[in-house]
Amino acid sequence: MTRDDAPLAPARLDSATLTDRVAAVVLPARAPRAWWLALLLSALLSLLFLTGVVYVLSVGVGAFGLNIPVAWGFPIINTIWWIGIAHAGTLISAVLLLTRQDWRASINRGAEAMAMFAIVLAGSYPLLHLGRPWFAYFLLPYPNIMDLWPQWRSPLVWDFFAIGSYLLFTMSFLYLSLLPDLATLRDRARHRVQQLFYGTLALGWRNSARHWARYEQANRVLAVIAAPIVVSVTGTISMDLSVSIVPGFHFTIFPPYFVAGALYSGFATTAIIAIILRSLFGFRDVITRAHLNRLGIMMLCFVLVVDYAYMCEIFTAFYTGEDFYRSVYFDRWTGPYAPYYWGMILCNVVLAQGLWFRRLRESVPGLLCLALIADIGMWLERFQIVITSTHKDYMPSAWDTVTPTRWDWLIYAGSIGVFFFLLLLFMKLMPAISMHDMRDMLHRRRHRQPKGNPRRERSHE
Amino acid sequence: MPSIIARQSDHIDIAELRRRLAGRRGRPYWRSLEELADAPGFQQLLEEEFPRLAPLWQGRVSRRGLLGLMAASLALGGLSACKPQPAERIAPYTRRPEDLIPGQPRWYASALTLDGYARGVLVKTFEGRPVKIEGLPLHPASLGATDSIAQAEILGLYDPDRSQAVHYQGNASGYHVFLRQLRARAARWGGDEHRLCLLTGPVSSPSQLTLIESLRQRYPGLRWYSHQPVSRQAVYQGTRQAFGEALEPRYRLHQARVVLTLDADLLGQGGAKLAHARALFGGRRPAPRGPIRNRLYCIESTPTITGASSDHRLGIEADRISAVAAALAARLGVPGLNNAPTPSGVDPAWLDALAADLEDAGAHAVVIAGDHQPASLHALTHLLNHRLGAIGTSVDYAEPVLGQADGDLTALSEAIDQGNVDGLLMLGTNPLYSAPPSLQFEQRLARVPFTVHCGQYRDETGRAALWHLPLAHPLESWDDARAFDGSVALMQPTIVPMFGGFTAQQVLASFAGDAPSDARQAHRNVWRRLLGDHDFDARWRAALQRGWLEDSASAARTPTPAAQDGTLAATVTGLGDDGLILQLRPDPVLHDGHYANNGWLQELPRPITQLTWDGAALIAPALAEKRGLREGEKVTLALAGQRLSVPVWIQPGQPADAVTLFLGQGRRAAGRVGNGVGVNASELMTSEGGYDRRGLTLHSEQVRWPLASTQQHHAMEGRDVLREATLEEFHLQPDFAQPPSEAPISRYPEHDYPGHAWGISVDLSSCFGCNACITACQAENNIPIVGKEEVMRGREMHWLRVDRYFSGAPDAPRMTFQPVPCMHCEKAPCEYVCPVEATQHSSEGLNDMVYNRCVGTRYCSQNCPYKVRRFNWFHYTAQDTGLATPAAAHNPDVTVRSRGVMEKCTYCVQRINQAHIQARNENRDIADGEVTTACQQVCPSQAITFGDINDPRSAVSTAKASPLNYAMLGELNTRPRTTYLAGVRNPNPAIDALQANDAAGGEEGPA
Repeated sequence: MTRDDAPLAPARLDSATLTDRVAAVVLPARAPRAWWLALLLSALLSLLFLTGVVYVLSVGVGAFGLNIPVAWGFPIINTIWWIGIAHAGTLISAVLLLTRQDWRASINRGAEAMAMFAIVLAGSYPLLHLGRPWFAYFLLPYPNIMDLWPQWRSPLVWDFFAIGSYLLFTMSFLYLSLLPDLATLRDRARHRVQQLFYGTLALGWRNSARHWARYEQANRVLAVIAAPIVVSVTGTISMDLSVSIVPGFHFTIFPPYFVAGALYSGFATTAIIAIILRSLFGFRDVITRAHLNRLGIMMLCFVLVVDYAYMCEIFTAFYTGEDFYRSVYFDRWTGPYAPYYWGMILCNVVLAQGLWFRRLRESVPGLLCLALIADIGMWLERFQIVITSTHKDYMPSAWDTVTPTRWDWLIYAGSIGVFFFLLLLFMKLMPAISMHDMRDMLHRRRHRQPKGNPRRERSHE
Repeated sequence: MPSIIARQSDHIDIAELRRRLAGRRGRPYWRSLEELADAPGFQQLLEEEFPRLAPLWQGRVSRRGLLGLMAASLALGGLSACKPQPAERIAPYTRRPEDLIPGQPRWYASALTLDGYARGVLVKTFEGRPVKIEGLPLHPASLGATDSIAQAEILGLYDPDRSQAVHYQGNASGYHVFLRQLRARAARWGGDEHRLCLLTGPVSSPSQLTLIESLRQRYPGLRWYSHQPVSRQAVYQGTRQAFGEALEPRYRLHQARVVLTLDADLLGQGGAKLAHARALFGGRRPAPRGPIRNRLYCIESTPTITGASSDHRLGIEADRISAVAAALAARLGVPGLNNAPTPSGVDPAWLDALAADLEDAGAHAVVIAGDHQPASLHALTHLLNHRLGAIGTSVDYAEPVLGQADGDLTALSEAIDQGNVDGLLMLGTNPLYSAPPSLQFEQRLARVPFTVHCGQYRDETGRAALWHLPLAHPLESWDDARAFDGSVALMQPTIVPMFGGFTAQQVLASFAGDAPSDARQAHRNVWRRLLGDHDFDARWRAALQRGWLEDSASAARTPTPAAQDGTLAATVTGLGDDGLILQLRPDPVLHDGHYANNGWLQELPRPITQLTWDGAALIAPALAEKRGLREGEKVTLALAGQRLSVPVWIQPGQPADAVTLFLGQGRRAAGRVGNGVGVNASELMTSEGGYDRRGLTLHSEQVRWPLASTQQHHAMEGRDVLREATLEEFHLQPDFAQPPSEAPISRYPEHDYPGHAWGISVDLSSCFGCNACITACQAENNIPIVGKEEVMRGREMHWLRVDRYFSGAPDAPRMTFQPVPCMHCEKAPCEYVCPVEATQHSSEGLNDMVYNRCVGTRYCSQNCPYKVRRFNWFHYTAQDTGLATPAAAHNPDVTVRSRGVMEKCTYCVQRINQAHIQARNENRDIADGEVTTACQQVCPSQAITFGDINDPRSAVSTAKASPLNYAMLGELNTRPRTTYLAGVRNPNPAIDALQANDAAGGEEGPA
């Protein structure tokens, strides 16, 4: 991590003005026009999502562009994509907390909310993927008269628990870190409904030292638990593919490769959200160019790992000497889905090198472009892994291609709408910047406290 | 309107009036009924159409009277819906017949016909409901096997689009009304002036022929015409040319060591195809040092399964095959043909080697010409067979199986033009669909005053005829037919005619003046005449039980050809014209179009092309390259003034100038499944007849038409999923099919099989790619069809597929077939990935699918290297969708799968369980061969062996012990239970050496 001198917050910003400003976004009924516009747009997209979901659930998964041999398609691609995006949230709130990166203070709330909503979407896609979603509970080890448990050897069962535990963890982490801020809002709210709403959610937080001690304890315990989850969830999901015998899926490099890819897209999405927060609610001085720079650096780190994984995978495919693996690669390079492969290379290998340049990382349009490229590139990566591996596997007679249908695209676009719809609502209803983390950071800065001192002094209102 | 009404002639054009009423745009209703009713034309229409309503209309009806009428109609309406049933003794089901156990199938011997030729079948019925057809093991034309069309007759039986009522002028009417009109009309048909004519398809049925004879006696002026879209006339004419009389050649291929076909699709067409397949390919696999008993040469104009399975194949345009045969005859010294030249494009050395091989086999050689080839070529083959001494050994002759009619459709058209055809009965034929357009048969038909069409469907002809009578399905009928060898098969109904159809005998008898309402009685009446009164009941019952009359095959004759003059030489040595040639062939699965409404057949991949639903014109890769045509590109074919727009399919092995089009598609009135699928190739036919004609032009329309093929990739990509060698290679290296390295180890524990362990062995030397197994599997296992759109998306549901691979040069490729059912792996990749354990290893080693546990993650299919699993993407079996198999046709022993569930081949587990129950009841073990899978049972060449691999003496264990045995993708360590016996072909070493020389010399051989 490069150290630089760019301020993470303006010198004149103190605890009181910060709290005022953040609360002023949430408590008044008014919202910026841009927010309304964005909400309307994402609400419309969400409606499309609902339409698509209702249609698919009523007629069947045949609505998706799937067949034999390519029986997995958009739902799986999008599951992996969304779960990858969710990952940066956990990394920021857990790993950066443990390693005491205080620049996380202004963006961790946004990142956690992003993780939360991304997991919800990542969890809903497998349901859409199922042929009979109403029997999804068969994957649970619930007691039944046949004494039948799920197949523990199947990665899909691991998946179920991975996504489930990740969802639970993210929910508790997000909620826990919200508690002090909810109490602040409760105290500042003038409207009865707001008082009741935030008061109920604040669970009686009274800002006592004991509360803070418990909070810090719980937060760190959760962070310690979460750190391995960052690696395990996407690692487990990658095993859906690598445990199979499909050439193109069956690579031992997949777990670390997928984690790096997930974090790359996750930091990219965090950057997008940071930029939205900056632009919509005027937090330019709180989420600074220094933040953007650091997000860019994180992206660069992980994209380099991803690029290494690409090379490694190709090497493995050719080093095995197996014709099946080689031909999957030749097909990815020259076959019907070659545009997706080369699109991925363009995004994740060529254009991603723009992250080396600090000027690009610090410029809002520059980083926004790089972040969008990263998300697109990572989606293309999942597309080419999932689709091109089985469309030409062992039996030449069974080779076939699939074309994504309008329902594939509609639900995909709709899910992005749902994501932003939930996120925009969250930004308006909840403090999108963690007030107490920021106050902590400001305090630490002001008093030039050495990092890592566990004793904290809280500024009170 | 006024223009019609104003025509106050006594001959009012009712049809036109109705057309005008139906076809009016702009003003869709009459302003009032009175406006129409006032017109005299309407009065006449009313009287003719509803004779009983006419006085009502004219009279005044009071309100009270009208209400009374309506009430009476309502009350009596129920009565008139009842069909009068013949008085028969019936037994209440409350007292179960002794041998009938609900849930236990009963089997009936019967027969099905194709082009008039019978194949004996066994029909499996549950509680009076036929659900499956199997071959009749002893019947000479079946030998226990069937083809796809016979399998699909079950679906045809339950087809809701079959004709359900007697129709008069397009409206539902009654049989008694028809009989009354017929009686009135028949009075005029005594002499030659007003004549009754009969138009049928090919007829071999002795009872129908007897009834036709009695019709002749009743109406001496009767003329019988036969319309055969897939005609055998050239065969009979060929024997007339060679022997002076029409004879039925019967090829005894089990006697033949060298077989040469001249455009004859021995294995795909004709009444003897199943017998031929057994004789040529049944048990063809050689022992390690042993020989192969026969060698098959094919000279053909379009790739067929016969050519694909042959040892040597030569593709050449249809009209040049005669010249090749003449050149061959010259080499063999057939008199009169000494100077026949070798056509260009054929390697003389190749022909020399072929002639030498034929000569060498002598009496055990046989030359066979295709049905669509000209009579002169047929005559030449008889001369060749005579020259080789084959007559009496590998071929003999008999009386023609098909009844010889007075003429064909052209003759009928001429008779109509002469104006003395007063009545026309069209029985089981659909000329308005299959007649050449130049005959203008529709206009001619309109000139016949009294036309009766009797068919299973109210098809194109049925809609144009004055009267249409529904014909019962063969599984509902009392009937009979002859097999290719002349033996008589009896057909008995397995169910009461569901839609009230009549049998051909009933209809013919009604024309003969006696109209028995009971089809059984009609049939018995005829048979009493054929068998005689003596002990008739017992003999008839015995024949019924057996399914056919033993020893009824026609006597073999070994005629000697008359000395030929030069005329034959002149007709067969012509080299044909240049330019494109159009070759019309029966569709490999829809045949002449009669089966177009059968979804199982429509969705069955055509052998070779693997196309489903609408077909295409086959063109050679060279032609496609020359014209810049892409697959599926629409072209306009024009021939003799007729044009047809059709997509092209680039077919390796197609001769360069040949364009093949299949008959049987483009139906307008087939039913909901078959309407508008493909184009009607007979629109390019000419009335001179003949299926091959030069002078075709082809122009691209620059648009593409989507075609639904089940196989997208046709080369094996150097992967050894299919292993094959020549006999010579096999002798040199008997273990050529064995993998070079040892089997990898598995870390998972082995399964334990204390009882049975089922397995399949597929013999690739025997499989010739007829695809009957696919339809048999579909019928047995309630496999839905999905429609063209879904097939194009790669969602066909067949549990068993037959892969076809090409290798070698595109103009002369080698084609090989490989049936791929589920492999039932010991270490199944599908089992460990299913999160809900919906696919499980059974105690007998089957890889079971638990449908009600499946949630549809499709992981099993992703992880299946063989891609044999099929998924219900939509609710394909929902009864309200147009393509769903009617529930009544389902096998009650097999679950009907719903949406979102994975399915696949089960090794017919229901049959295994049935055998288990049977064996347990009888306190014994399951014997080898007791369980047969549907694909095994249907296979004409017995390429599939199923059994217990725990039993070292079982047939399947014996097969798997062969050095030819190999596991497909065995290196993945899936340890499949389905293994293959590598194919061994028997090419002529002399020709192989020739081609090796050619290749060394840098030239391409012709074959």
